Amino acid sequence: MAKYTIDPITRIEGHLRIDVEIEGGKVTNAWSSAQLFRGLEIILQGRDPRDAPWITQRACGVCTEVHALASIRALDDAVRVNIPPLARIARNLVHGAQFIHDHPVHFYVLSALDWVDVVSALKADPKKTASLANSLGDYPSSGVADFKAVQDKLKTFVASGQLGPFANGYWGHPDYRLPPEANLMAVAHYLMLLRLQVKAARMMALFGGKNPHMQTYVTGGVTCAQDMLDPDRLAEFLYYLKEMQAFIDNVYIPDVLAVAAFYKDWGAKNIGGTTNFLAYGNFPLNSGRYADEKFFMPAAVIMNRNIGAPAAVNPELITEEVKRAWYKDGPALNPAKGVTKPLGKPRYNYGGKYSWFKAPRYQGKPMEVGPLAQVLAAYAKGQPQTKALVGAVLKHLNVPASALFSTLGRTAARAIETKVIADQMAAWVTEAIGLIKAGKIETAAEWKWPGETMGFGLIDVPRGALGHWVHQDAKNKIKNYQLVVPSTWNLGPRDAKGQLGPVEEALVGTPVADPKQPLEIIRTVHSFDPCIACGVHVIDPDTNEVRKFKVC
Amino acid sequence: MSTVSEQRILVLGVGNVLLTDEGVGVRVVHELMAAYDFPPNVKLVDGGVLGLSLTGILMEADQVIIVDAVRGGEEPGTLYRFPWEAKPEHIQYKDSLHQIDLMETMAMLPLLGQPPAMVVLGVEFGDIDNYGLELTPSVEKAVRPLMDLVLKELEGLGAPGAPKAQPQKVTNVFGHSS
Repeated sequence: MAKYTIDPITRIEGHLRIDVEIEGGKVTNAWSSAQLFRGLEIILQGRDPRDAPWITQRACGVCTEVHALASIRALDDAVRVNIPPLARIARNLVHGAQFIHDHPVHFYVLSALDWVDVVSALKADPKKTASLANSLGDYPSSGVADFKAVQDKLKTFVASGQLGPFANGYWGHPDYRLPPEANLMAVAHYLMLLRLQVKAARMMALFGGKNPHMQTYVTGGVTCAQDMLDPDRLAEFLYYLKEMQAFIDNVYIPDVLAVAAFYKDWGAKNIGGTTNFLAYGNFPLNSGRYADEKFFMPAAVIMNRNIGAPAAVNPELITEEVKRAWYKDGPALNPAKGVTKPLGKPRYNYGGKYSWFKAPRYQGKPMEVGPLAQVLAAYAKGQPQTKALVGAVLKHLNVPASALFSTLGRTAARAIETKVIADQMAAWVTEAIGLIKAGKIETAAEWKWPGETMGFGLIDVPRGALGHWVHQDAKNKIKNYQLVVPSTWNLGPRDAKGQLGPVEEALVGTPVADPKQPLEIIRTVHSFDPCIACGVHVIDPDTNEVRKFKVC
Repeated sequence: MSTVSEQRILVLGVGNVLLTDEGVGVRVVHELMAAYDFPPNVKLVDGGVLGLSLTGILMEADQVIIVDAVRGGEEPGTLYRFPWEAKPEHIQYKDSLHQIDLMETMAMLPLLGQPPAMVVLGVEFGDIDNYGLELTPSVEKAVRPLMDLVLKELEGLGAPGAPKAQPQKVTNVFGHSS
């Protein structure tokens, strides 16, 4: 059987390699492989635990805040400190802003072009595009002149030969189903989002301390006390929030629905679906250790797609396996006792080891994490906002709840989660103002080094369930540090039992019109928002064009 | 028409500080921030490995000086200066792990408006494959000359830095407040 390797799978260079077997126009087997070793755990050993949030947030250009948060939650837990209410709200606001930035960016910049044919947009009639937009909803900037301007811009861009973000598309692929006008509308909103995300990034920075790297989170609370107490700052935050909410309500959600309407068979046939789901919970509503925390977005384990029976999350049931990963063989271990022993010379072996990712399991099962898991958890636990919105989306598309178990469902869940979080954030600002008025202005709690201790920090982040585990020794140094990141859950390899990782499972059964243009596969992989963390990048100039200065 | 001194200048250090010489650009920017004062139209930013979230910072500048590790095939420690637009098709970011890195972000800027003029000041790296917070000796030796190169560039733009009376010490960029 023919094997196809898709490497890189990201729009530009990446380190995720996907291999598939295709028979009869469908994927029959799949392997997901991380191609680079992440040595963060090793670099952290022996360091001051307070370095961990700073170091882990440097691993990735997108996940800076989320690693800082998971790490600081692990340190809070290790020293057993309860953070004050105002600190909890500050963290929720910064973390919420991260979602409001990342999810729309994911839809428009990282995945929309898997469904939207940019080249086809060049053929659209701006007049018909305006009529289409007006028939679909209350979109801003939807006049004929607006779409004409976008199309002209696009033409200039394409004519310049510098295709930039549009360089690696499978334009003209037979499974691009949108008419040119819908494609042009989507491109217009892509540009709108590119401009707007600048404001969402500012929103993150408002309480995030020194832009662009997060410096707010400290053990016991936050350092942004002055900013939190500043009415102007709170007002500015609300101003950006309102603008993002308008975009989410009037552009993002309608666009997801409009695109989904052309691909409903992906939901009906559960293309890209998986079986088990894990959400750690997100946005704590109280302070305490994980077992006592209540979350705005609930924690839950959902097995076998049974949303009628969500179970509580027990962190002790999390293990990582290395049987099929490029590590020294050993038992499945809880991350609190995790070991990271990389093999020297990795060889890709379909029947053996083939990835730098370990295989995380919960109760021995592979689990999908991320927006779909988070929305399913909230839905299953009866969180009112999520329940209502999921219901409205299913009704609008006239599809059953089972359609959620698909790439389309994952994409819709990301939009639903964005709206649920954005709509809640104003309430947190109000809560913060109430605390300040009541004089409860403490933003960090006192704590003491407790001697040898262990802690963990679990939180859902835009890409899914993120966990940091820390073991500190009696001299207050890191003895062991383990991270289990969302992409390890979603993109990890098979385990000792041969169970496929979630993205591998999701790909099996996917129709592929042309193996040389694996657009359908890319759709599903991108829908997981793969982020395999941390960049090496180096400028490689044409040496003839470079002026050199020798160092004496 | 804005005069030279009025243009908004961004000095952007980029790279991954966890990967030995890969973070040299970030290190240089931190050293400059600790030891010099700059005119109000100059902004120094530690860009790390951020991509799209730097869009705002980039679009708010007229002139960008990117400080980074460079693969030019010369001895480690060799300094480079080249305009971004010189041959952009020959500039590649290697081994970037995320979908939207700085390179792709730069390519998107024309969609948003008039992108800033960009120049790259860089240094040939020795090791960017191994995790480590320290620079290799030849790149460490190039930090000061690279700082001087940035200062010279700023001077040429009519925005010279002035040594601080009491420079701060930069040990590494992770220093927590203890």
